Amino acid sequence: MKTPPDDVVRLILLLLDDVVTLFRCAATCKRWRRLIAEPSFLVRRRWPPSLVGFFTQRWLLTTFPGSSPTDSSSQLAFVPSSSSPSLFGPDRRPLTSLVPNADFPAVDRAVSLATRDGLLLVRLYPCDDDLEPNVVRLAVCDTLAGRWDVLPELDCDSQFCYFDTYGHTIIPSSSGGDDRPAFRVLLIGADKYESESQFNLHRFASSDRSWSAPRKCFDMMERQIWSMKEENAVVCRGNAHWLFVRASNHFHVLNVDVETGHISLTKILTPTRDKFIPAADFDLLHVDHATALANIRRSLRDLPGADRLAITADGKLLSLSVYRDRHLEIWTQQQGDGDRSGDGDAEWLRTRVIDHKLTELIRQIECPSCIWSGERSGTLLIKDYDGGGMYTARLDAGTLEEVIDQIRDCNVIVPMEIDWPTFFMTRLEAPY
Amino acid sequence: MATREAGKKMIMLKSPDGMEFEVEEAVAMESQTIRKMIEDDCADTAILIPNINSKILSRVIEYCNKHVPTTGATGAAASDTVAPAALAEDLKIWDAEFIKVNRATRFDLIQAASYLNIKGLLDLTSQTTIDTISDNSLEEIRSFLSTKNDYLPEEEQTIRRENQWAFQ
Repeated sequence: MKTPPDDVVRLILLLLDDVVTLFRCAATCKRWRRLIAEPSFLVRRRWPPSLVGFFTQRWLLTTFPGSSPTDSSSQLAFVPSSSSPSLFGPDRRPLTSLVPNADFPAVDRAVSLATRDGLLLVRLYPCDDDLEPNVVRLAVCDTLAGRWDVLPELDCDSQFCYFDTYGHTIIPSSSGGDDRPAFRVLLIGADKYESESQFNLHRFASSDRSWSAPRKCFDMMERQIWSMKEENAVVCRGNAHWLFVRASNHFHVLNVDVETGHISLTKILTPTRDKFIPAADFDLLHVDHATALANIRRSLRDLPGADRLAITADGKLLSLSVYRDRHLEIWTQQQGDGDRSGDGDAEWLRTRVIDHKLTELIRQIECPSCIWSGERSGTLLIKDYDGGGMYTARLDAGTLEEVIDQIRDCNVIVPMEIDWPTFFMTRLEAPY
Repeated sequence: MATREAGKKMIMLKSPDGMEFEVEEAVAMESQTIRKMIEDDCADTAILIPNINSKILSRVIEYCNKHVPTTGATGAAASDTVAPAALAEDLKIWDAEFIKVNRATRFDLIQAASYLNIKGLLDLTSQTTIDTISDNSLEEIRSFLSTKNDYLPEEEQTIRRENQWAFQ
């Protein structure tokens, strides 16, 4: 019997809901692989980027030192989101089952920091005896290939101590072909070796197997910068962005070129200068070309009255969203291709208003606080500090959905997003 | 205008191998593609259906005839005497019989259902294939679809190693 023609194969593949099954089909033969990896096929599936689940655990500083073994709720696990295709099956998966070659007991003492494209950056907390606050131990889990890579220790000062906030991100790079995952890790934080307010950048490239010498970002005192808004960077077009709040309602975006480590600081001016803008409501977000996104970081409870703002970053463009009179709005800074390090004193245009119905739904939550916003999927994770419930709000679909119980009690939640067309294209690209 | 029986509008469908099928407009409009043609006034007295041979087209028409919603006097009469659940059950049994065809025919029907945009028929014809693909090993999928594995052993090894998430 003849094998079905390409058109029929495409039709069948289009009807497969399950991503695992679709991926396995690509492994049957090269023709099927080619049909699945075709951009036009992946576009036809109309798969928006989605929030596939959460790397999550309940962790306190006192959890690890001296206490062994840790109980199961403190162990890092993946919990799938109910509304998205699942990569790792329908059930909760402990990290140890995703990276079988991980060193024990180190993996039992891992706390998740950031994830991107299937790579998970974790910090390893040592046993009580060798607790050295100045040493940062990180590991990267390639959750898709089931691999585990412990990074060389980074010796820096106590601002990277367990209590302190510091910025971090992981960016996959194209594979070197060996058995280790390929990536870069960026860390930013104050190094006491120099001055308590000096922010430095540390870079690690898996190809070099070493940490770069720290680079100066800025001095917080000098710049009157108060605090970092979000530990996880927004990454787009080869740049990582962190948002900092400055005195008198000004904001700075720290831009780091992932490849070269070039650092620049952009000042952000707000579009509504006539009104007081609470500093707490700014946030950074990557705007996907196909989906306009918005983000609200802090409580929406205090509405109405004050504008609620969020900054979004789309490469050279910076967008800002405003929550005003029950509208979530996306404002885009009309910035040219010129010098990014200059003052962001440019015109703003309101490019989108988010569905009114969704903001109404969010307002019905007793004490909502946005604890995370998707870099790509346009999803907000909202915690109700009164009732304890947790919700995902999808800006494009305008829906609000309660998150399954399994992550309600977790205080470390690192959501995992997948941009499906890119995911399939990169995992199925030549030379197969 | 071709008419038959009491006011029922007829449509002529032509297959590329020259066969002509006269069907009720309501039956033809089970196909969203043909419905669009008729609504846009693109349909003359006869519509040429490219790429679908007479053997497959006759099966498609048979399906549409069975699945066209009963309307007007006959519809009212039917629902008086037969419960909707029983009708649905009857339709299910009929579908199961209808789909007892060889794989080549089934793939032709999938293609026709897609071109003519008949969702029910597409679901019916593709479900077995999807179930088979979803529930079986790579080897079984290959044999079901008569596909030859042209990966080198080390290539297949690499795909599996790099993507343990899909092969657990």
